[in-house]
Amino acid sequence: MRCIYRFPSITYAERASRALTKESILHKITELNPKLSEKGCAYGIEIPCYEYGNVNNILSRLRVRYEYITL
Amino acid sequence: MRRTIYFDNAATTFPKPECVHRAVIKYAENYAGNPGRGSHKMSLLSSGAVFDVREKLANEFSALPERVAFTANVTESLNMAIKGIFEFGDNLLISNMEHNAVLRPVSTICGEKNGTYDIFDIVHDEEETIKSLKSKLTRKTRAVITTHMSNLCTVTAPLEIIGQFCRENGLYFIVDAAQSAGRLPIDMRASNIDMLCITGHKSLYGYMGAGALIFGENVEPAEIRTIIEGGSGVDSVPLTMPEIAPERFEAGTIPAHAIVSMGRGLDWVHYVGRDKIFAHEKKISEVIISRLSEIDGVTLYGAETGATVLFNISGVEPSDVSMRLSEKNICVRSGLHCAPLAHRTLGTFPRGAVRIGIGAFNTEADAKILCDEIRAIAQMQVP
Repeated sequence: MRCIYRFPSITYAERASRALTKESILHKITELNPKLSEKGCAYGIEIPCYEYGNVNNILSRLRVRYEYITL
Repeated sequence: MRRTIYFDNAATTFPKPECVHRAVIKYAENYAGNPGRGSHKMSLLSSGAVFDVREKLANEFSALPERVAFTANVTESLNMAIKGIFEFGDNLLISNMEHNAVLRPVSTICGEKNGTYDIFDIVHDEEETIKSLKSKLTRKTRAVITTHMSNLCTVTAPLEIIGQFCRENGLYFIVDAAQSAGRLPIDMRASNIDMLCITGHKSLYGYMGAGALIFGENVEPAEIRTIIEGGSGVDSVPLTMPEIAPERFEAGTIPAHAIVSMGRGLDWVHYVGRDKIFAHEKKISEVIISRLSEIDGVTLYGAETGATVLFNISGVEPSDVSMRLSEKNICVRSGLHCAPLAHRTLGTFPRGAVRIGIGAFNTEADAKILCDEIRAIAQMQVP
């Protein structure tokens, strides 16, 4: 299983990535399959699934829009 | 021949700091993929470099990084801001010191959409400035647009009190900070600025080719109409631009090399000290003003210390002055400086004037040579 946070754009993904790096959470930015959204292309951050809780907390503090998906 | 003495820093600063060149070369040679266009290594590194600059600008102006939209220059930023908020029949208020980067889009959109605009006066007394604004306010007024720092002289708009006025009256507040970004502190939150328009190649010491439109936290990006549409790297299926900033306002490939230069230029400004640079420019202007005021036939306009000195020589056309100085390897700019409205305000329209634009790398020695050459031109006119 792959655990991914979907963001509205690369800018939001970058912002989230900086916050995760600060907390030493392994992750990578990835371009998502356009089929995953009605609107087409999007960016996401893939994390180790066991970090789900930590990442949720960090992103909530950032106040950025995201959606959690698993593939 | 004497080395070139550059006093046209209000048009673009020169030279750029060495670290700016190095940063751009490093970017260009190693990871200049297209930012926001893919997830391969070079695109992501490039996106990271661009995001670094968004963060730096956000910190500089008290904004959020995702509200920093990159443009080609301040004129594009102003066009996007002004045309993006305008509704049919609106009224806009602009200052009496505006550049054509404000005046022309305002005039155009008013012509196209049955709108009107009025001009308020920026004067040294802040209360008088607000009084002038109040006298022009109508029920149809949508926004106040002002230059922060004139491109001709030292006139500076009191952003905090104008911003307060806008907030109290439900108006958008749009600021042209072409000359002030990197030179004066600007706090978008404290000054209630809704849209800050900047360029990278002036007092941010970056290359020509990149500017930014920065949105305040009270603006809803989806409500700002786009004037340029195209690829955005995300949400590719709909026929409209994404609703979120900054991608809503960044159609097509962004000028990443110039953006990187702007970021490193801002680093350099902070390393040297923003206030220290401006104090240095003021010191140079003091030398120039003091020397020019002793020359018969020289008229100075708005002669206070700052980043620009504006003057004319009696009996010599401004364009002849700049041409003669150019022959001596000195760069200044004459004419109307794309700001006929501001020249009218200063009483120098239609003839224009000669502008000395001071920057961080000018020296007192440069200033003395410049003044000696101006004196020589003025003395040629004495019968």
